[in-house]
Amino acid sequence: MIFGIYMKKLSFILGLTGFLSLGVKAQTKQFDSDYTPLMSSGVLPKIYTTSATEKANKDIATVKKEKDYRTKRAKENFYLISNFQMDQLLRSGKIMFNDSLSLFVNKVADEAFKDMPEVRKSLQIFVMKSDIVNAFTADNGIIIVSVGLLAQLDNEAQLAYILCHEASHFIKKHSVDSYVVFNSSSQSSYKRNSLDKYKYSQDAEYEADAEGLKIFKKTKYSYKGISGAFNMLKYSYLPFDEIKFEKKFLEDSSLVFPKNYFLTDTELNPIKVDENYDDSKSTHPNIKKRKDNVSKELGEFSDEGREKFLVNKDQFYNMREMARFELCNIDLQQEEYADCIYESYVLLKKYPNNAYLKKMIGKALFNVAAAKAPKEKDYKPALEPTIDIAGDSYISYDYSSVEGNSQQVYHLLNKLSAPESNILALHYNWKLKQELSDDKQLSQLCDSLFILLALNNETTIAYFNKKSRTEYINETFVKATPAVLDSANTVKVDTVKKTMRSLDELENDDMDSKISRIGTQQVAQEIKASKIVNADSIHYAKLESEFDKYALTDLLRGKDFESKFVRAEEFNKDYRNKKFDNIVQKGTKSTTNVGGVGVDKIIILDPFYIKTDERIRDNYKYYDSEEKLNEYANVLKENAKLANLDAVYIDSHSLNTNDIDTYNDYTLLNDWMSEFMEHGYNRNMMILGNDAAEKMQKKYNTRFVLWSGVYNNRTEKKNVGAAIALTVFSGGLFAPFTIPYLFRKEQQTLYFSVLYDLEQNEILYTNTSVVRLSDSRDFLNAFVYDTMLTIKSKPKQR
Amino acid sequence: MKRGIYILFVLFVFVIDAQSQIVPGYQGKRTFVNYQLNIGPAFRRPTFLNMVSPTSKGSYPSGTAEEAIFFSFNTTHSLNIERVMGRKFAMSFSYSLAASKDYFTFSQDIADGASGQTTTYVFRNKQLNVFGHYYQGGLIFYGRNALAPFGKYFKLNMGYCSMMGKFTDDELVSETKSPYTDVQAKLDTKNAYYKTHSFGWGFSFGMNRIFYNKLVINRGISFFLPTKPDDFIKSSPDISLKNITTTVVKRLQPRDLATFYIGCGYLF
Repeated sequence: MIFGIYMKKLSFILGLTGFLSLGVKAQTKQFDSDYTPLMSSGVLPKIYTTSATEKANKDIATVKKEKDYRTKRAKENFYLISNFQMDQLLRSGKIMFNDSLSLFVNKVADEAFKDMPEVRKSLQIFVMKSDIVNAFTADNGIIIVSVGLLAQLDNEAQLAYILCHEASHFIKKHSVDSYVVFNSSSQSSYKRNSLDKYKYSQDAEYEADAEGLKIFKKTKYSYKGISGAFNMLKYSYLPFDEIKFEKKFLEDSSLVFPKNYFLTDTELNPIKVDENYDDSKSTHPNIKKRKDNVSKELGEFSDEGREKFLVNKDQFYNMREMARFELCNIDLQQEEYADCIYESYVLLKKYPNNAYLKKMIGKALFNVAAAKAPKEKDYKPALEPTIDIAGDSYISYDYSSVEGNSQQVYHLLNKLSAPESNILALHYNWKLKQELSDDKQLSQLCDSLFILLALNNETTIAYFNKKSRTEYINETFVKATPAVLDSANTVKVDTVKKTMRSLDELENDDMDSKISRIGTQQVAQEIKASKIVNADSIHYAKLESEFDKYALTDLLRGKDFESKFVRAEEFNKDYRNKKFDNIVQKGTKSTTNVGGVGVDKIIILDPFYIKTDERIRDNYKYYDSEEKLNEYANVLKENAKLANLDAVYIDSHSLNTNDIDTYNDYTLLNDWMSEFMEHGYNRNMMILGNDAAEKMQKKYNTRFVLWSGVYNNRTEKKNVGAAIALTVFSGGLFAPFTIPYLFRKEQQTLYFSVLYDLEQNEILYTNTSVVRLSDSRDFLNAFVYDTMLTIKSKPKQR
Repeated sequence: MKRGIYILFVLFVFVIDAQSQIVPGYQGKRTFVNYQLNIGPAFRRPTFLNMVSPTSKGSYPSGTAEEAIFFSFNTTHSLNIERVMGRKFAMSFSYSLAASKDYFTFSQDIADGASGQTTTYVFRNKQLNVFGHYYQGGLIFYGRNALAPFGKYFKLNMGYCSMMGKFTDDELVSETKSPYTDVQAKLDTKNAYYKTHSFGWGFSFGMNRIFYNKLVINRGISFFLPTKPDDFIKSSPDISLKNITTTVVKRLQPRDLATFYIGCGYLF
């Protein structure tokens, strides 16, 4: 059950920053310089090595003795669906086990269920790579806790209560009961309308809160954990911390944003609080009702002898910090760039030298620039829109509804035009590259940003001012000011002079105070009052409007930077003259007429097989899908061999106990693919969430990944009456057409394969086919072999 | 000549295009031979498929409707060899043998030997055994979501066909009698046969499915349209009468115009 997905906004800020600053000092060392994303380790849990069919059959066997037929059917159906869906989630690559987060959460669970060994034995707790603040339970005792939730926690006690709550759902069998009530007509206590479902679900939540409290009482955890958990949920829609995002963070002496690119404190949306929101259409009661319910259940109590931390306080903060670091990467992968930048910024305040965080910001800025940049001319996506495996990339910078300090980042990204985003990203990443000179990815990012700037944004070196911002201020303002000094009020002029002169000191001093003094409105008023009507205000306006023209001036004085820009300009000219045919043709390689791809080795990644039947209630044919998936795996292997193509098969469905490395490779590639799909058809953007390309190249000696799948859908046969009528009235003349039609199964099968180049961040080849036929072996063989052969064959010169 | 140039041009275009493609065949297998059974309706009541239009006075263009048309079929047996040339293009050669029957109801003007007057005699439901030999080359174009030799295709056939008909009865006895002699007319067909040959073209729509990676099963519908016969031979002077000759030849021509087929072959 979802513990906290429906959150309402409240109107005051809880001091999360207080919690954050406590106790973190002790274990900050490991985060000081860098961070390595977490991976699963150890032995694969049995749940991964058992097929969904086996798991479902085992559960279904338990309801054989159920007397009521409808209840029995409903339960069987529930176990079928829940087992297969949970299996899909477990194999999604988003679940971690035996990693630092999961291990700690399990330690808290050990402590919380110390007196209930049977319950503890039945529970399996995993952590999911998701930014949503959430925890939920399956009926077979699997509890999934999200990274987003762990990042928001303040203490162990909160986590312990959440686990107690989730375990109660398991103990009370809420999932199966809920399904049976609403899917079995023999259960008449609830009508089948949505409001009743909400009511039933809310009742289950009240019960889980109360039962969770009973379990929690048996522990030594402080009751503050309960109220803390509810408070944490109240603010879970906000980032894990609330600190002011300073304008100067992305600025230096050459890059100063116009004032209107940042919101004033009064313009920032306040954080609203409504604990008692309308929950009539929610699966969970509102926070106030839940707190009242728990308080009532709790009665009089004493917190004496109870602790917020029982496992280990340092380990908890360490775990939470890791969750926060992970969250930055998750946001990056999910194109939540504003959140990624803000969260990295918050963590950078504590770990100012952390390279991982700096790179997170650089990567986020890169993809913002790439997403905003216009598409190249003549661009044709390799992935035809007919196979909608990925929608168009949509990144929102709408800041109007964002609350708290992160709104500032949304606002900034919204204000920046495409070239401005590009300039900012280049400015930031180039400087970072100087700092982290060994980082290859940063060099790659900078090179791409030069191309984006010259080619997509059509910006040349000539666009940038020759004089730096500092030089302009020193020269222009100093000259202008004496001209008006005579007629100006001394005090005011001093103020203005001081203000203007302070601009060239921005990089050295506290910018906040200076910027506030030179704010457009403020300066304009001061200038007006001191009778300096035009001179400096015009220059100041120029500085504001042309801020981007100064942004790279200082960097352009460096030879390396300039030469790369020059090369990008030349590239742009060549591109427009179509000198590089291969570039113009990029993305159109799926045309098989031009020959093969010319790849000798590939990784076949986790194929999928979905069989549905529109004529049955739940559409999805679980057993058949899994059975056909096994067959399809063999088809892929067999045809790769026939085409003499070296293929490594990485599949989450054929794992053995010791295949932890394969599982980690799988999750890495899966994350890469998810991020790639998030980007849709925008090939300007790059996959920056992980270094799968490098690792795969090293380990498997290839950078090419084939993702393939089949979707078969059986539909209702139409025109049966017409076919019979035609047979009879034509005296049998049309029988050779109509009789096969009547006996044929009406179905459609889609096959598709996509070959990705991890290093170049692009789709190299696609092969799709839709037929009104069954998903027979010959169909699969024909198209899979074609795919493998095309991948293996050398390109032909036309 | 012109026709040959067109065909060569079409072949050239497709073969050249096929050369630049990656041709997967079916798991690398690109050739198959198959036996094909064509089944066409043997119409006793002529339909638009085998209608013989009246060409002269006294001809009997259509049969009666007394007998059901169900369950009376003509069959043709074909042996094909097909070679996949491109992703969606293949070429084939086939030999077909048609051995089937046709029924004739026709009228014939015959001069009465005694009176010298011409009388129209009607012959009803006379069975003619027909043998046909077809030698055809084919261009096969596979559909959008097919990969030769798998999937749906359109096949264009060109070829030579030779057909021969012979009545089952050695002697045909008319249904009507002469008003002069009150006897039925008899036609001696013991040594008579009709033979015609012509160039023809045809097309078919079908689908190949492959089982056990080697077995090709195909089915479809085929049309064959012989052109005007180049020549025909009639061996017996007794039946060298205009109406019956015209009728038979016209019936020989379109008799395999539409057939449904099913085939089985081996892929290698």
